[in-house]
Amino acid sequence: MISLIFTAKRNFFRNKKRYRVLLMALVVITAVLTIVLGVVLGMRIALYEKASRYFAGNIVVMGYRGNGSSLIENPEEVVQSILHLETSDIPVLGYSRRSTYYDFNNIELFFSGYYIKQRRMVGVEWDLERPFLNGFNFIEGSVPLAGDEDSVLISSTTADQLQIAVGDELIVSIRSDRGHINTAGLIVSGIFSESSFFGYQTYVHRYTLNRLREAPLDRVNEIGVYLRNPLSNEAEAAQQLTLELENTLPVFSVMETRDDYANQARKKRDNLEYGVVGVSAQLEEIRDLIQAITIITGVVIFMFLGIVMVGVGNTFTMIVWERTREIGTLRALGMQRIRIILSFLIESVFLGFTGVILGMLLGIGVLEIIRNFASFPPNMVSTLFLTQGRLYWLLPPWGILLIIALVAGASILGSLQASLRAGRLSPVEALRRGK
Amino acid sequence: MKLNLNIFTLFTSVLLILSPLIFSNEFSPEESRRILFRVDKLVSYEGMDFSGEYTITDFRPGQGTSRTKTTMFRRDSEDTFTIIIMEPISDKGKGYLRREDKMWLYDPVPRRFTVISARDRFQSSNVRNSDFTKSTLAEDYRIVGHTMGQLGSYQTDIYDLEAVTDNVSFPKMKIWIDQNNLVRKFEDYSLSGRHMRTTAIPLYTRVAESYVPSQIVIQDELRGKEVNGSFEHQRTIISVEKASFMKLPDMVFTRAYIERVSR
Repeated sequence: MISLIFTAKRNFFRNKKRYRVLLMALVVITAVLTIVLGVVLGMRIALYEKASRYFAGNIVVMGYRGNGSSLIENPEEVVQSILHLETSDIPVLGYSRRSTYYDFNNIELFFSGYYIKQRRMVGVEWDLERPFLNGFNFIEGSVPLAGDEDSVLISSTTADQLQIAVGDELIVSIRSDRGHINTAGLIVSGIFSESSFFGYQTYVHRYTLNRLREAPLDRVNEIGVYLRNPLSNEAEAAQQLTLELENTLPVFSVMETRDDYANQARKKRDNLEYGVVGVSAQLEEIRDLIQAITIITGVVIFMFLGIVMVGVGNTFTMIVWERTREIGTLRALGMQRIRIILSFLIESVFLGFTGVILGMLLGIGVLEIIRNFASFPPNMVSTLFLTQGRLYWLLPPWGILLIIALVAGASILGSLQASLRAGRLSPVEALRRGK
Repeated sequence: MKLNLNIFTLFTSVLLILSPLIFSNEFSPEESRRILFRVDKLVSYEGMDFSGEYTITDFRPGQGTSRTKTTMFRRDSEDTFTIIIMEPISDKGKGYLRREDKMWLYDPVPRRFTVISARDRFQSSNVRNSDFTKSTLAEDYRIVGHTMGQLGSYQTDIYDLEAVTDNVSFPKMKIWIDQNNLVRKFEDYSLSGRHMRTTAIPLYTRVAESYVPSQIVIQDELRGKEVNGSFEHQRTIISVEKASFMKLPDMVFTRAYIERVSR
């Protein structure tokens, strides 16, 4: 076998001129695969992190009575259940305790005569969510200090509209739960660039929002959990948290789809009941969009791979034809058919792996250039998939193995027919027919 | 001397004890309701129907002026009104209907009624839909402070009001009432005490025993723009013409009527 590998290596380097074009094609296809997979996975992570920040965590506990809005009446018990998750081997990075206010018509921000409406105002505890809020792409400023009830975080779109900067005093006006207009003067602590996909929103301290709403100061509407490996264990964590909650509180279920989530919020109940929803359920439409992009990209890549396979097949047919006399000689000297076939297949493996290594290096180089130097216009679509304003990429081990399997597989499959034909040649015919 | 001192001490003590009552701006609920009811009564038209043409001119600094002309029909006894928009052409045929606590906006293009809130802005101006309803100060507010002051040529009582119901947008108000019990100015405040809106009513027209505000100026205290170095607020001027207290058919206060006149 080792002698076969050496023979194949020698032949591969002897025929490198013939392989050059094919190798370039393999390098390009591998680079494209690396770039596409790296970008798609990076975009998915960026979107997931943004959505998690928006929805209070990777999984969120909601309390419903049937009026469509969430209220957590037992925050201590919920937090205890979250802390118990660690004992179930589900690593937790942290949790959030938020009050939230949705009302596009009645959240208004004013500065020096300019004004803008917001879809959502979120009351957070700065210190509790600091590691996650720091994930914002801050254009100016940062997350306020712990317990700062006079500060606000706004989006760059809001800041542009109001012509406001960090340090300026913004007037926030909302309609309280009792229907009264209430206002507060808050200092802009940070301006972040964020997609408008989920709607413009403003972050204030939880107590500030509750005070504006004329609600009890310690009211909590949602409690979210940030997981260490959310993409792999979100569903398991949601299920486990539901079980933990069941020990102390009335619980209905895990809400697995967006429709389920909407229905549970409106379902009439006699008493407050708790449920858990994962970010993936909230992102159903976007998940479909990413899946569609992945499928289209996959089809294009498979078409490329098909072309590469045809190219490899043609090249190997030529090589076999050129080396007919050599095959005849080797067969006449007693070389078995299978060893002839294997020597050509190993050559194609060399070809495939050289293409994969060079292609991956090229692809990763391009991905790094994109991450470090490419800037994107701050519009709804691009901002949605960026992390801190940059297009980050991700290539996990399974991604690398997939690319190797696809490219090397295409190379081996492409050469298979020609290799089999070489193995079928009889020594006499080969020596007579060969050049 | 000793006796004089005792009388002085007694007098001072009594004065100190009674001072909160003598110098207080506090009004009893009954007194508060009586004063505000007197104000409401003059601009509420119980027992009769009201109609008039309202021209609403909205000034947006740096953006220009827009004008909306409407016809208003109001029946305070049933707490209902109908507003039909006549101008601008783009909004012609739109109609507002209020019946008790519910309010609808009719759009003639999709021919659909949508439920709206009385607290929403009327045609994006500084006027709120609730501004067209009858005055219910006595029901919604109580007096928490009182001073006297001159407002232009009017000697006015200035009352600080605080909401007693959740039916109002602004939980705090300050109103200027002239010697004829007519509101000449009011300022709306948010719960935290921020000045949100100022309304001035310089002109009233007397029709029979009632008064109709014939010019109302509303200034948004938060919206505006700096123009030529000075800050100009967004303002809305409402002019009321052709005020009438003629009896209106019941049909006027129905959705069918709005649909018919909007064709």
